[in-house]
Parts: sequence; C-alpha cells; structure tokens
Amino acid sequence: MAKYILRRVVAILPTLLLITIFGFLVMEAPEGDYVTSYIIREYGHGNTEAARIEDQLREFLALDRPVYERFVTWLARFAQGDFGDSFDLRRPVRDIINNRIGLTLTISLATFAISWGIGIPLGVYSATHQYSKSDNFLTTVTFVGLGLPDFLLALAFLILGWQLTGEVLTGLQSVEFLDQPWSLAKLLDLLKHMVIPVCAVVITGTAWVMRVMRGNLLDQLGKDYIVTLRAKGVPERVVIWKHAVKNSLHPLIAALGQTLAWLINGFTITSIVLELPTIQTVYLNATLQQDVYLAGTILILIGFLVLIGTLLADIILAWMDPRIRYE
Amino acid sequence: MPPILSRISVTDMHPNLLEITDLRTHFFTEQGVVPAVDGVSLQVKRGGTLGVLGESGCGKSVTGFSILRLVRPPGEIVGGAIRYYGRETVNGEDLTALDARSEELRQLRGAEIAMIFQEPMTSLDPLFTVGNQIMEAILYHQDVSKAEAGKIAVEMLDKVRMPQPADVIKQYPHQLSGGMRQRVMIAMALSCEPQLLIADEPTTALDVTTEAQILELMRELQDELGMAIMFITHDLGVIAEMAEEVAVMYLGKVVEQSDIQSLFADPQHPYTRALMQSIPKIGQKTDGRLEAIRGMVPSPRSIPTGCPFHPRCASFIADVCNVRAPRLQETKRGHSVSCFLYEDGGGVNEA
Repeated sequence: MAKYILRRVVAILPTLLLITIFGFLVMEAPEGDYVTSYIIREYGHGNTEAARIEDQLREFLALDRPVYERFVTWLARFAQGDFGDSFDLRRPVRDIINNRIGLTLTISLATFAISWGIGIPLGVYSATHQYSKSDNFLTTVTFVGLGLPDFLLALAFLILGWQLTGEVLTGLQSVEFLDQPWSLAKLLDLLKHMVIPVCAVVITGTAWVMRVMRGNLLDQLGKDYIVTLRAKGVPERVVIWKHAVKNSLHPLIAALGQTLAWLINGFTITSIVLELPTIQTVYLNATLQQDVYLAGTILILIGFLVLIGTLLADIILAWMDPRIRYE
Repeated sequence: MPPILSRISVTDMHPNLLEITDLRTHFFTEQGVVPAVDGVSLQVKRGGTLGVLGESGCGKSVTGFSILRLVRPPGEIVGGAIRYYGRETVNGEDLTALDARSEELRQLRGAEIAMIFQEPMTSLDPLFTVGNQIMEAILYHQDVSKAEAGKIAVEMLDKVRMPQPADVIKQYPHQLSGGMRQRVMIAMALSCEPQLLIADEPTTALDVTTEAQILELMRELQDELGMAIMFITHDLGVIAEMAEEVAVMYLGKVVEQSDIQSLFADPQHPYTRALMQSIPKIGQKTDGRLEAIRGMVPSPRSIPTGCPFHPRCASFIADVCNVRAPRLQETKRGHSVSCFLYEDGGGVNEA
C-alpha cells in the first residue's frame, strides 16, 4: 500500500506538467494575445491611443518571444516559487491568489460542510421512509434543487434580499469594511454577505448528496446481508447506520476526490453573478483575457487538487473496503 | 444450555415449539395482490425437523420469513397466528401480534429463532470481518465482554469444522469460499444456541460435495444442541436426508403433510406423486423419457379457482376440482392431504 501511494505521488509531477502544457497551448490557440484583447477593450472604453503602444507593450510583457520560450522561462521560475505577474492586474500572481484563497475557501468549505451535513442524513431518512409523504416531499425538493442552476437561485435570493433589506448583497464585504482590519463588525458583515451564495450552492449541493445517498442506500437495503443482520437481531438503527450506510458511501467518497478541486473551482457562475472576490472569478477573467501566467498558475493549482483529491479518495476507499487492494 | 431452557422444567413444555395456524402473507403489488402464503398451518416439534418442500414461488421461503417477521412491504401478514412456545410455554406467544420493529421481537431474532439463507455469497456484509459479524450476533443477545464474544466466535467456527478458526475470524467474507461462508452463517446462527433454526435452502447454492458436508454438519449440531430445524427446500433428496416431518406446499398452500417414511412410501396428493415420479432413479431401466409435471406453475396473480393444482393434475375431476377448494384432511394417522380423491364428506369451502 505504501509503495502504491508513493508511486501515485510521484506520478503527480509528470501529469501536472502535461496539464500545464496543454493549458498553455489552449490559451495560445485563439487569434491574438493579451495585448490584442487589451487594446480592443481600451478601444471599447474610448481609448484609441492604446494601439500606438502595442509593440512596446508586447515587448514589455515579453509576449514577442515564441511560446515555448515564454513557457519554459515561466515554468523554470515557477519551480522556484515565482509564479510570475498578472498582465492585467500588474501584480504578482502569488499575491492575487493569497488575497483571495481565504474567502474562497471560507465560502466553499461552508457550502461543502452544510450540503454534506444535511444531505447525508436527509438521504438516509428518505431511503428508510421510501414512498412516505416526507420522502415524496424531499424527493420533489431534490428535483427542484437539481433542476435549477445555483446561479439562478443566487439571483433570485439577491432580489429577495434587496426587497427585504433594501441592500444589494453582492460581493462578500460592504465598501466601508474593505480595507479595514478584521473586527467583529466586519465578520458579521461577511456572514451577512455569505448567506446568499452559500444558500444557493447548498441547495443544489444538498440535493445531489441526498439523491446519491437515497439511491445507494435503497440499493443496499435490498441486499441479502441486510436480511441476515435483521434475522440475527441487530437493532434497525445499527443495521442502517453501521452496515447499510457504510456500504452506500462508495460514490460519495469517489466524488470527494473531485470536491477538493471544486473548493476553488466550483460555482464559478454564481461567483460572477454575485461578484464574489473568489479565485473562480479571477480565473475566468484571466482565461478570457489570455492572462496566461495567472490562468496557468490557477490551472496547475486545480490540477494538483484534482490529483491529490483522487488519490485521497482511492486511499479512503481502500481503507474502508477490504475488497479493494492496490498492488 | 441457553438461560431460557434452564428455567423451564420438562414437564410443562408444550410438545410443539412452533405452531403456525392458517397463516396468510400477501403482497400488495401494483399489479394486484399476490397471496404468497394463503392459509398455511404447520407445526415444528421441539428438537424435531420439519421439512417444507415445494418449487419456486410456492411460498415456502415467505413462510420462513413470516415467522421472524422479516417480510417487508409491500408484503404483509394479513391473517393467522404463529405461536411460539419458547418462553411462554403454556399458551405460547403469537409472533404475528408483535410489532415487527419491537424490541421484544428483536430479542427473539437470532437468540431463540435463527435463520440461514440460500446465498452464502451475499448474506454477509462485505465490509466487516467474519469475526466481527459473528460477535455482533453474540453481543446483542448475551451479556458478555467483547473478548468473551470473540472466544465464543472462535469456538463456534471450530464447531462448524472451520479449519484455522482463529485466522478465519480476522478474514473478510470475500476471502472465503461459498461452503466456508455457509459454515460462517451456521456458526453465526447457532452462536446464541437458538431453539429453532430456519434453514432456507441452505445448500442450494453449493456444489454437491459441499452440500453433503453441510447437511451432515447440521444433523450433528442438531444432535449436540437439541434445536428444532425448519428445513425449506425444493430438493426431495435433501428432504429425505434431513426431515422427520414434511409439508409439501403448492401455490401458497400446504397440500400434503406427513412423516417422512409415509410420504415416500405412500405419496397421496397427485402433486407429491408427480414430484416423486419426476426423479430419475439409478439402476431402473426406463423406456424413454423422464416424467415431468405437465404445464407450468400458474402466475401467483391468477391462481386457479378450486384446487390450485387442478390445471396440471393427472387425476382432475371435472366440475369438482375446478369449482371447490379441498381441505387438508387426515387420511391415516399422521398423514394429511388436501385432495378430493381422499375426501369422504365432500368439499366444504365453496370457491
């Protein structure tokens, strides 16, 4: 097992390299580069002068160099911990990520914890009370949750919040707190702003967890070993929670592997709709503007989390299920 | 000896351990009501073996599940009584009157009435060790420590002739063969020394050699522990080896009931006779084909009127068998049959 884990960890590096090369190539694929898109945007804002510094700008950003040279230079510096600068924000990529990672994780971890914390017990309840009134009610709610995208819910909540409080609760902080040090008032302000995105994403998240849990548990409850457990006088509560639920966790744990990357890469559209200062919004903009070093760094981060997450999920599965052995 | 038995003196014991009277277990499906068990009466003698014989879908397994109240919706016991004379020995207690989820019934399951099943491959939880699962049965019924339960588990595995029981206890079900898993199931079922073991086709999924070993083992353990066995099977050979009393079931009803010798020497119901004739006999020269019962088992959703066997019966009497339902009547001492060929006073239940 230790050997297997070591092999998987070692395999992460070449995989990441491939992901990065591919990511770079995709960003280079469209016509033009960051400078072209910058000039077009400036032109749109009425700045016709920008076109005149096109070549200078390209040279300044080293965009006149061939792609492989830029890639290799950046990667060499990346290996030493220097992720490069963002073209558009004119700041080191490291600072941008550092500034946003805290709030991003706060929202996504809260969302994750709540949707799994509610979803699993509700799924179990739903399965153990199959076709009862409460199960039918929960199933209906689930379908609504799965059917409506979270950004649409976020928009609806935004309007609702505005109608109720008269405030437009976009972002994660009110303007007056933006550059303030942390205080209780600032924390409360943050919590107030978190309600809308967390609620919106939790609804779809919970719906998914519930649906998976209910389906798998029903599957397990129909199996022979459940009858054996009941026949030997094991209390129903133990039959469900110790045996049936443990046997139903496979797909959820497999999904846990994706969740790690989802923490900085999930609910992107909701982030944009609500103007949240998260990594997702930066990543999308960087990709649109061909801000390659910023986008490339975030891509590597996401790739790394996917690989680590999958490895963790595989280890947990092997630990939980004696039938799974990696040799 | 289990604590229950030691409290009871031999004199006030009811001769039967279990009496099923007119049991009706129906399944309320969307396509209609399926009367899987429809008026079954059976008795299991203390320490004896009752064989329940029948082909797939005759309701023999549902009868077994009904005793432990393990029938799940849409199935439901709609009538009859299951009297168990284990604790309340004079009047017995009616298991159908208990709530299927009650603590009372839970204490009965596994401790007094245990069950083993047809599919040893899927009847154990794949995520827990064999030892853990046997100990679980012990810990929920006996006041012993975990260490003691572990010791009992090893002893039980040894008792079912499991090689290296102390190692097997740490293994997972998928590491064992079908025969070994069935031994684990038996060890688990007998770990609390139940008074009744319901064996639902325990050897059907096993190969013939393993089957012989398991049957042998069950007989030995029965002698040693003195429990009664209700042996459910479709296999006439297995019944002949295991049972003292036999009930033959067809479409949710008992059609013939007798001791084993009388049943094989003098099968009376046309269905039983047809079953006997359909066994190939070694050394007996036949001039052609093996006898088979004509037709198919009707769908349980459209059970024929009158005697349920009449469309396939070789001795069908027109305007009698398809109109009225025969009653189970004693034709000689200890031998009952439900057929108009043997009915003297004529059918009673108008269909």
